[in-house]
Amino acid sequence: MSGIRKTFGPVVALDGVDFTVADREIHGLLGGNGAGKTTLMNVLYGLYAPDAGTVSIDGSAVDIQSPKDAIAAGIGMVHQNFLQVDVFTVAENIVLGTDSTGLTAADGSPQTATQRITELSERFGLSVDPSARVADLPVGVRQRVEILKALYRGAKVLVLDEPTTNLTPQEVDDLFSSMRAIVDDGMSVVLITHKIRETMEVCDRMTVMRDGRWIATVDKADTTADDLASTMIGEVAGSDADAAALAEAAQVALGEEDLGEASLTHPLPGASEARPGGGAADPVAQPPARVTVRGLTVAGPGGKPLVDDVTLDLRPGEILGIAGVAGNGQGELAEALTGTRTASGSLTVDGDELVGRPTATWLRSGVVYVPEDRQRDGILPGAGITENLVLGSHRTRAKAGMINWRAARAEAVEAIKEFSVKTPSAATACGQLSGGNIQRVILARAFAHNPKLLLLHNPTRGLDIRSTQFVYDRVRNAAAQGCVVIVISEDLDEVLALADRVTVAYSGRLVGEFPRGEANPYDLGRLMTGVGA
Amino acid sequence: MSEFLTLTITAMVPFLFVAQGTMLSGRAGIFNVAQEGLMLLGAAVGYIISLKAGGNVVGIIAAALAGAVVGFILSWATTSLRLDQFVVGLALFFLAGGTASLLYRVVIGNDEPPRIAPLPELILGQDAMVFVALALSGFLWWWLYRTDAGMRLRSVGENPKAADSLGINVARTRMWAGTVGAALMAVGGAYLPMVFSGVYADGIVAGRGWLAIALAFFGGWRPQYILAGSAFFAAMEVLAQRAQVSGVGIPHQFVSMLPYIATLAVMVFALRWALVPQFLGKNYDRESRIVG
Repeated sequence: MSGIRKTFGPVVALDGVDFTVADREIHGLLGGNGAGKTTLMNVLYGLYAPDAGTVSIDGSAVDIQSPKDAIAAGIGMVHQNFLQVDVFTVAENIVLGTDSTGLTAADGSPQTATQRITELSERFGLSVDPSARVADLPVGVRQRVEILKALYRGAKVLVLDEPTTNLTPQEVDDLFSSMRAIVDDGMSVVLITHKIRETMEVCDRMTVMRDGRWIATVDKADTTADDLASTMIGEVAGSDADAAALAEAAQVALGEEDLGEASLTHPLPGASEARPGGGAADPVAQPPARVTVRGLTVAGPGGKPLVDDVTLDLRPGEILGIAGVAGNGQGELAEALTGTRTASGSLTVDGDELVGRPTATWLRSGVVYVPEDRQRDGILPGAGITENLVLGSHRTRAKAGMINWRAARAEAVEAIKEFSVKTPSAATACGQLSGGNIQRVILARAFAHNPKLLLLHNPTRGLDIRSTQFVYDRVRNAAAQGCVVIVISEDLDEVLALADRVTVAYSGRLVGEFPRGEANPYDLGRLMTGVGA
Repeated sequence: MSEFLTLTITAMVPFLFVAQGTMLSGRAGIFNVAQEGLMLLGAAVGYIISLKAGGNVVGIIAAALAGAVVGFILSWATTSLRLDQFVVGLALFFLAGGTASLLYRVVIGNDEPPRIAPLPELILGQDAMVFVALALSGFLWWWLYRTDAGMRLRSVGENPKAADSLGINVARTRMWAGTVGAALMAVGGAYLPMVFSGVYADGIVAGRGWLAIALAFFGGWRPQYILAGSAFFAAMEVLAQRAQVSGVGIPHQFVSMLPYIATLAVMVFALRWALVPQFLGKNYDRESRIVG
């Protein structure tokens, strides 16, 4: 691919990108969020029409107008959000769109299709049940279906977009060995990722992208995790905090290659030793719990609770990390813990019982929620930053029902400065900001409520490294001031980096508990899949 | 009793054509809401052409073509232009209904309308269209669930992005499914003057189009259950007419209400059964960056 350019309205998503994949290699496409990795691959797969640039395969130029052309050219892509028809079976999803003449054709094609699927899955270690309905399958298996879809079509180049999201460490190992088997069979693989560790672990070469531009292509042998980190960040952003964040990422990364346990005991930047209840504090001197949760349960359809009997004691300044594969009740748990979903049981903050009280009472008691879906649950996309910051405190700040907008605007301008929100003005509609800036606005609002219990759900999903570091710094700061923090995240690295104590959400319950430094990613992975709970 | 059965089978025919047409469009993701208008258009065109061009068969074909034109407009406006399906559908309801009325006035005027010949009986006191409607239901079931093309159509209504990523042309699939579906709806309308009244009138459809949408939901967007549901809807219609004419001790309005109540009950209590295509009524934009 050379000179690829793609714009969405005024936004330049790709700016003259060159990208080459060699035969039989695993090529890492590395970059922060918004670097244009996925956009580039969507151009290759015919989903986006480029404004300029050419694609050539085996030396000859090809014109790819649609996924159909891409498939014909031997390109297969596994999207981050699986493109599967939920109500179809595995076999139907794999065969869909291929030139078979109907599933019960006279020549017995259903057999051949199933046989081919079985053969491919054995050859590449991607075991699936062809007759299962995909909606009933766990994420790891659905991903295998996606890979088989591409292989079934005879892909020569397989593009995997952030494939390890939502996989347990064990599943990641399996995936990487399947990738190796695919390459050994004569194909090429492109791995889109923002995780340096993954590229160092499995890739032969990697290309780094930033802000829609090609930055570098390097052999694994010629680089280190630290080098890659600084390439990803670029020179403009060379502040100390960023370097620290990446050093941290790299340490976790390198540590895990040596099987992990030692790396997690590294002192992490920003983790204050002076934190009252955090870290390896003397168990005798522990202060009493600030937040207690007893038997918190959310009823679900069909009698199976969505959140099942959650009990926690959280000391001031403690950061609790809740890991888990998406869909194990994390969203419901987050909402139950913050009073935005009806639950039974008990939750007290500084002794005040909150379950059954209106959300305004929870908020006044210092329970603050930073939801997973920022756009949908976190902001009013059409309203300005000032309005969004006023939300939640609109009652307390109003006098005789009237809000003093002049004062609110002044505060908003302050908050924009303090939280480094990049915006033309305080009146800019929140929905027009980037994900990182939206999250900064939400955090600014959260901290304006003087939280005693701060709950963050996937707080850095989709954020670039700078915003991620910003979120981590703020969270550690809040904890240092005695706030109880709960981080629910599907990113295991994030949980391990932030939490004083780690537990795992599985099927609506919290299973296992590890203090900082004793959590091994593979032990957590087993709990995440319900093995050895 | 056998008379009741005969009447019910006849009454099933328009429901079947219109609901199966709704189902066919819907399984590809086109939610047509112009049934009432399309049926009127089909009834007017079918009546006028049978009268002037001599023959019910010609009339039915002409009605199908008229419906296809409206269906094509709907499909084109919602795929190529990505206009809102519901808004376009409502506009087409008025357009088709108005056109039907206009055609009738231009061609027939205010004279006493001549009656067209009813469809001839084939066997068991039923006309050919009864068997066509039944065969159509069976064919659609076979086609949707047993053929490759049927699977592709269903995938477009369930997850167009997945279908697109596998090289299926979403717009083209929707275009013809919407067109054929609307043609079937118009055929359902054309049946009315040919069997019941012999003439066209503006009130001839009497809400059957709206009921057909309910029937599609009632049947879980599956041809076999729509077939079963149409028998129930038709029986209620016959019963309501009887209640109105002879009085069976219950107000006919109550009987007329039952199909709606039954549909509501299905929607509320049988959620698992009442499957709805995931992308029903939703347009697909390949380059949209908003995750559907």
